[in-house]
Amino acid sequence: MKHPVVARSEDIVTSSDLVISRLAKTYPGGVKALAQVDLTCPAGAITALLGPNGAGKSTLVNCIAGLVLADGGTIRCRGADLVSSPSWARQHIAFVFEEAENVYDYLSVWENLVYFSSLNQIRPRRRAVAEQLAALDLEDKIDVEAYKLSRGMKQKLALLISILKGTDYLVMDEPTMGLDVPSRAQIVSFLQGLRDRDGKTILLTSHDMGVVQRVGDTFCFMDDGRVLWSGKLGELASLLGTVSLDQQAALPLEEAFLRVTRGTGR
Amino acid sequence: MRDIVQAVWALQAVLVKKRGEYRHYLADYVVGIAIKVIFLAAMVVAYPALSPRENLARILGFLLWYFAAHVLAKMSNMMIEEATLGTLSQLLTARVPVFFQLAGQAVGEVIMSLVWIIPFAAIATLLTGSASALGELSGGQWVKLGLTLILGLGGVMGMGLVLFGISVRFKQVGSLSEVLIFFMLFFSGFFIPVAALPPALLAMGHGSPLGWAFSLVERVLAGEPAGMGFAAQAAVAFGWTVSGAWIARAMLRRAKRQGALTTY
Repeated sequence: MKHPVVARSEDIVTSSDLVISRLAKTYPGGVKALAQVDLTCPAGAITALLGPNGAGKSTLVNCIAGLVLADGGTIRCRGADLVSSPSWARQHIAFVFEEAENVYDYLSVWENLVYFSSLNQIRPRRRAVAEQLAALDLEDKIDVEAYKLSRGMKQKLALLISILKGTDYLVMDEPTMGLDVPSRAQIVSFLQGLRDRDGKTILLTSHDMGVVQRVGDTFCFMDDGRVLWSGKLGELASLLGTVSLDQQAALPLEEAFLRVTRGTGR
Repeated sequence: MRDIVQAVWALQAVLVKKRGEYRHYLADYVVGIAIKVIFLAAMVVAYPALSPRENLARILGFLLWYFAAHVLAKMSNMMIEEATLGTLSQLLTARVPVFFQLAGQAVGEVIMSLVWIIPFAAIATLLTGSASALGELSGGQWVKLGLTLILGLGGVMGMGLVLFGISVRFKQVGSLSEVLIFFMLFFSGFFIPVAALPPALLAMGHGSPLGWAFSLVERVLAGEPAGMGFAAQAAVAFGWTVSGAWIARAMLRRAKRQGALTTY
């Protein structure tokens, strides 16, 4: 059974929103990664992008980052079109990429932070960084080489590197992949703080429904390069048809996701 | 001004990274130095009857090659190395553009190599009795030597830019850079005298920034006029740099279109 795509026509798009319109990308060989994708990431909110492997999430992130050239469409923010001006993203958006280590193993935590901050034209102050490391339980690791850190610690370091860039926008591809429960909880809490305290606009992709449901303000389901549904958690009742929200399982997002993606024949 | 600021940030980042690399891979660096000392010793021993001035020219040629080898290796491997480490996406989305990062890598290599090069040059000068030739240099000769060494390194960086561009598409470029490095070592005139080279190798040497640099170093040390030497050297450097910039831009754009920029 196919579920209808619910448009978010009721939302007002502000100039600070990250607005993706009719974005298209077909790779050589005819692989259609993005097919007229429309998505709005509201300013000051966390937008969660969900989809099975090969849905087009990473291509979308890479188009925003300017690492993949879109065939058509626009990515607009504060008057700029990131498709035609990819340098805007380098100046105003910080990224954490999927499967990437994002850090150098042979550099210490502090050296990694100084290295990437220098490339982002920022001079970090050790005392301020120490406070942020403490928030991520890494305060005693500042002079430890990254190869001695666990995967979760490295991911938290990558997150901190992106925060130090000082941008209003953060894009993260699978930031909690492969992490244990305490590390996931810490990253969730950190992301919530970035939104609530600092007003950051965050777009994240994830397969982790628990994390996404806890942290997301708006959600977008993708598959086969298309947006199948986007909206808020409260709007899931209409998506799930006759089932009302209070009767659903502990993870209504997962249930909705499964229904929508089953509808695509996967 | 903005470009200078970007270059300074890039250089600062590279120096932080290089320090970490030296600490972590110290044994590999020491082996690399040992190999180069063997080459230098071979070069010095091969021509025991040379005058102090000729020995000084050969030492300067060798040192320029040493810098060139490091710069070419780093510039040709940057994309591949960062992709393998998983940090390439971060670098490509940093505020400092990738071309400045690349230039920072090249200059950083030269600066960090000075740690080895200065004692290396001092010992070689003493061993070959070239100190007297060094003492006889006039101010004008020092300036001309500095200019030719800078133009030579500029040409090498242009060559590195070509290799960088090729590396965006072909990860086997490391082998090509090794070929260029050893071609320049043996056929730039400081290891094997130019007079002993067959015409084909001599002709190929005209494309080598190091060949032009060594020829000028010899003339400057001999007190001969440089003639059009500096202009020719600048033209070779310009040619490599323009070609490199064009190839690199084209390859980066192609990789972005194909979605293959960060995959190897």
